Parts: sequence; C-alpha cells; structure tokens
Amino acid sequence: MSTEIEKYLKNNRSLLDVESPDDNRIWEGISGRTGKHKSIEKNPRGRSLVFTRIRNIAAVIIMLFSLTYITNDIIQDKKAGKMITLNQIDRDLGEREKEYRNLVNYKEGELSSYDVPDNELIREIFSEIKNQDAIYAQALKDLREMGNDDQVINIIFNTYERKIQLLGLIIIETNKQINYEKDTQNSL
Amino acid sequence: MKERTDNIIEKCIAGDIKAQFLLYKQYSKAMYNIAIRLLNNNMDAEDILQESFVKAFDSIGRLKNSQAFGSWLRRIVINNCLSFLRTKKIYFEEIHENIPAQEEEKSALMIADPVVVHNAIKKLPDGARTILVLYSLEGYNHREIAEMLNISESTSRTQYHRALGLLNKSLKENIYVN
Repeated sequence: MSTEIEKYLKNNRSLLDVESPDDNRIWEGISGRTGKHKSIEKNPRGRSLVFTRIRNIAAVIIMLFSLTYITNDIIQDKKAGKMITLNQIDRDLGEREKEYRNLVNYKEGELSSYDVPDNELIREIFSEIKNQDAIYAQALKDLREMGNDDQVINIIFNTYERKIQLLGLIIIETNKQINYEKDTQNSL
Repeated sequence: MKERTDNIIEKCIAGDIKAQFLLYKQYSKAMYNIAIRLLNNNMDAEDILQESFVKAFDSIGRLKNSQAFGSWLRRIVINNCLSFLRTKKIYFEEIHENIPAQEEEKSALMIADPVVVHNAIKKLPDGARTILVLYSLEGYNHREIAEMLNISESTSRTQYHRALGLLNKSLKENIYVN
C-alpha cells in the first residue's frame, strides 16, 4: 500500500525537475567532444568540466601574457631599430650559425643513441653545457639590446663551439666506457 | 512531435551539431535533475550530464528505436551516476532503526512545494537517497535496484523505508520552520 509520500512522488514526478543546468558551459564541453571518439573511459571523470574550466582560464592567462610580452618585445625592437637574429644582421653570420646549430643537433642526436654513463666527469661536462646554454641565452638577449656587436657575436659562436666540443667529449667518454666493459667481459 | 524527434535523431546520427543541441535542450533539464538528486552536487551532476550526452551522441547510431531515446539517455545518466557513486564507496548497509511514523505525512505534503520536496530528497543520506530516487522517481523495483547496486533486495527495501521516513521528517520540519 502506497504512503502519501509515495503517491506524491509518483504524481508530481515531473514537477520535481526544478533545477536547471548551466547549458552554455555543458554544451561547450559536449560539442567539443562529440564525434571525436573521446569516450568516457579514455577521459576520466572529474577532469571533464573542471579540467575544461581550469584549462580555459589558463589558456586565456597564457594568451594575454604572451600577447603582452610579444607586443612589448616588438615595440621595443621597433623603437630601438635593433635586430634580433644573426641572419638579420648578416646573411653569412646566419649561415655560419646554421652550420653550428646543425652540428650541435647532430651531436645531440648521436649522444641520444648512447647509454651515457653516470659518473662525475660526465656530470661536470653536462654542467658545463648548461653554463654555455646560459651564456648563449644571455648573449642573444644582449644582441637584441645592443644590435650588431662583434663581441656579442663572438660570444654566441664561442658557446656553439664549446658546446660541440663538450658533446664530443661525452661521446668519447661514453665510447671509452663501452669499450672498457667489452674488454672486461672478454677477459672473464 | 513524434516525427520531429525522429527527424532530430536522424540528423544527430548524421553528426548534425544543431540537431544535437536541440536534443540536448530537450532533455538536459530532466537529466540534470535526475543526476543532481542522485549525486547531490551541482558540479558532479553537470559533469555526469556532459559525459552522458557525449556518450549518447557517440553511440546514437546504435539506437534502434528513436522513440526510446529519452529512456535510453536516462539509463545512461543513471548508470554514470551509479558508477560515480561506486567510486565514493557508499555503503547500503542493512539498518534496524525505528522508522519515523508516517501518519502526519499527509499534512506535511498538502502544502509541500516541489522545490521543498526536491531539496529534501537531496539532503537525504547518500544510500537512502539513491534508493528512494531509483524506486520512487525512476521506476525501478527493488530486485532491479539490488542488482544495480550489488546489494540485497532486503537492504534496498529497508533503505527505501528509511528514506521515506527521513523525507517525511524533513518535510515536517520544513513546514514548522516556515
């Protein structure tokens, strides 16, 4: 036998739908995901709307920050009439930088194929590479501020040369280690 | 109306985003209210609503009878809510407490506003609320609820009666307060 509450709930079922969702926000999430085969299982609950909200806010902040930074940068450069890259200063300098960069990339690629040993010497070399990267970054900044300056340009090329040497050194040390391990195994 | 819904669903199957929006608007409020009564949390209910529509639109092509869309979607929403509740590890334990007498229900309900009843349902303890909503509002029987929640039929019944008692008490208190 039904109680009064049960009867009430049964007879007034549709009247109980009293709350309304935030359709715009929910629809934004739905329309962004439908047809892209993003299933619930692949997109864990809890990351959906909350994640979308956080992501959107973060995206707006980053965009505003980037826009301000870039605009400011462009205005400053235009004001000072200063150049940014070596290629803009002189095409030959640009070509030279490109060769250095290719060489660095080649060495780094070569290094990534090795299982580099973790010893004090290697750690020191990596630390030195990090220093050179910092010097390079500072030199680029100086180049933007000072424009065509021989000393700054020399520093940039020096950091490239030094980095290539250091990467080569790591490769040599790694090979030594590999050979040593091979010899040890053979002698056993 | 029948043809219109069929037509909208056909367009949804074809990936028509406007048709999907129409369908969403048609069902969002009802589905949201199911979710919020089961979860008692606006953010969670909105999340579930979004997930449920995404799932529905992604698999709408498999729906054989377009007239069954509403009940099919409702089932998706309820399943998603129950999956979510499982992650919260709600316990539907057998209870042996005195259930409040119900002779005053009528007076409480005679002036009960649906908003008041809706809010009173939301304030029920998780386990009791889930069973009350599934049984009284969504039309499942105790055997089905027992299967869905992996509990015994007896637990479903006792939790349901507990929910009715608590709801009655809450409504009476609300009347006295106002």
